[in-house]
Amino acid sequence: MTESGMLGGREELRTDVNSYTIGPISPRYQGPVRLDFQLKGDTIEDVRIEAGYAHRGLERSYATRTWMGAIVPTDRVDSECSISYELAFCMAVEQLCHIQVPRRAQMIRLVLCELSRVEHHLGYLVRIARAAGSDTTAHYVSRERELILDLFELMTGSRFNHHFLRYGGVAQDITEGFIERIFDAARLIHVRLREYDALMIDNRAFIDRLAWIGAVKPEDVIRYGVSGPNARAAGVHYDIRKITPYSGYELLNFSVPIGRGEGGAIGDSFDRLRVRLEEIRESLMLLTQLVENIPLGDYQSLKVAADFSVPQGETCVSVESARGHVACHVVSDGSTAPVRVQWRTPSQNAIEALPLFLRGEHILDADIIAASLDFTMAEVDR
Amino acid sequence: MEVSLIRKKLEERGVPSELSPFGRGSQRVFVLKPGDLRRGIAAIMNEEGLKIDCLDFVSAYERDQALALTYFFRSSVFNECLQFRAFAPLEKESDRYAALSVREYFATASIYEREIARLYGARFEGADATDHIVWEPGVEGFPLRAAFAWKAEA
Repeated sequence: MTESGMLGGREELRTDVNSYTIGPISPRYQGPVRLDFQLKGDTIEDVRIEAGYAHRGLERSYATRTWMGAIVPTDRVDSECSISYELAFCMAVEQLCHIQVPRRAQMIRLVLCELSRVEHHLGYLVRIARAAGSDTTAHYVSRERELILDLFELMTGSRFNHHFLRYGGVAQDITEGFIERIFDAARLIHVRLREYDALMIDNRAFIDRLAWIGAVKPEDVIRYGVSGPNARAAGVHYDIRKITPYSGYELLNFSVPIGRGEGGAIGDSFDRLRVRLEEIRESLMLLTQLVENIPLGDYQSLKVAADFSVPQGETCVSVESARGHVACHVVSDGSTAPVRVQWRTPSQNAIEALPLFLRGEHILDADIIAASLDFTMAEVDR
Repeated sequence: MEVSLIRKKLEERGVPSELSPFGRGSQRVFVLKPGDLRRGIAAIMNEEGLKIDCLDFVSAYERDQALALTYFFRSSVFNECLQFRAFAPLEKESDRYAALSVREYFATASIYEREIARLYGARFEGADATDHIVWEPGVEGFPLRAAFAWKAEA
């Protein structure tokens, strides 16, 4: 072969290594992201990920808002898990100001957090069912997700971006009929989960599509800081609700599902699905515990004025959102606006680890592996 | 996490540190000189009794003409956290903050360094490509700097 790649006067056809690009705009992912694959045949050798196509400058916008208005961009970090972000931010401010939150308000916050987890995981089931080509399942699951979104609407007035938590409590007390509807929804979804099991967990076609693909070792998960159900599916016992309980989780009885490799390998795409299904069950149980034990009392410990200021200092608060470890670093100089609010989001670490999940896999499985990891570009391009 | 043990490990590597309060609880942050950061991390990584094996995230904000970089580490064995802080100064001949990349120790540092590089104009020595955030055409400067002029268009 000559240096110019000619073989005896004929050009060499390099058919063994290909490149293939998805994005930046693609309906397969939640938000714009570009994935440049290097393929050998149809096996993925490497992936280069380019994010940052829709960076919104949310963290910058905190500096132009008052502390009260700062809850608005907090919601927008991830609309689907906005309650967890609100909780982390409010807890950080409450720490800096030494604000005590009434027990009733703490319980209402947890009710919303667990509802958000159920809603998000149902949304995940829809996405994974679509990626696996099972639109029927997606429609069934969407039906129950609507129930939860209706509950959010009843309680907070909005289905996403709730803007409901306040420093020292929540914006409003529980609406009439809310508790009864939670009981009803929990009962119904418990029944429906058996249907989902039949459609997904016990369905051979579904297992064959998801099992044995995108498996990672626990040590790699830790190295890349992957958290939430993705980490737990790989066998890493890491749930902030258990490790450093907050807002009353220490008083609740629940277990943390871990990947067991029942369909294939530990930490594969099937385990990530199964762990989330188990987490829905746990969250429904938690919801029942919470609404049965909501104490009487205030739902807010103080009314915040427009010129509310936070003492000089900084703190970092972590919570467990439906996607994983969310941390909020808040810095105040004592004025009426934050100096800095920075987020640690689970999708950032998941997307950084994505090549690890994809290397050595078949290109046709790339979509389903990415869907099983459940990253959203909203959390990355804040 | 035991402060005296961390101090001992840092001293063994010749890394001077100051302990500074962080938050309203008993949390502390170890403040290191920017040039000592990598040696400091090497001192605590996988040490018996510490087992720091995860970088949760890197946070940054401007303070006293420098960029305060806070590294939030975690031990997955002990489930405990530890913070290091280094102040990246402004480079004399450019308006970039000069910092060291910790990518060789923690793979996850990459995405945070990339973000801080683009939003604050920091230069991380030894980092991966740091140019992954796409602005609208015509945006110049570093949006998270206090001095950044926010131009809103209707």
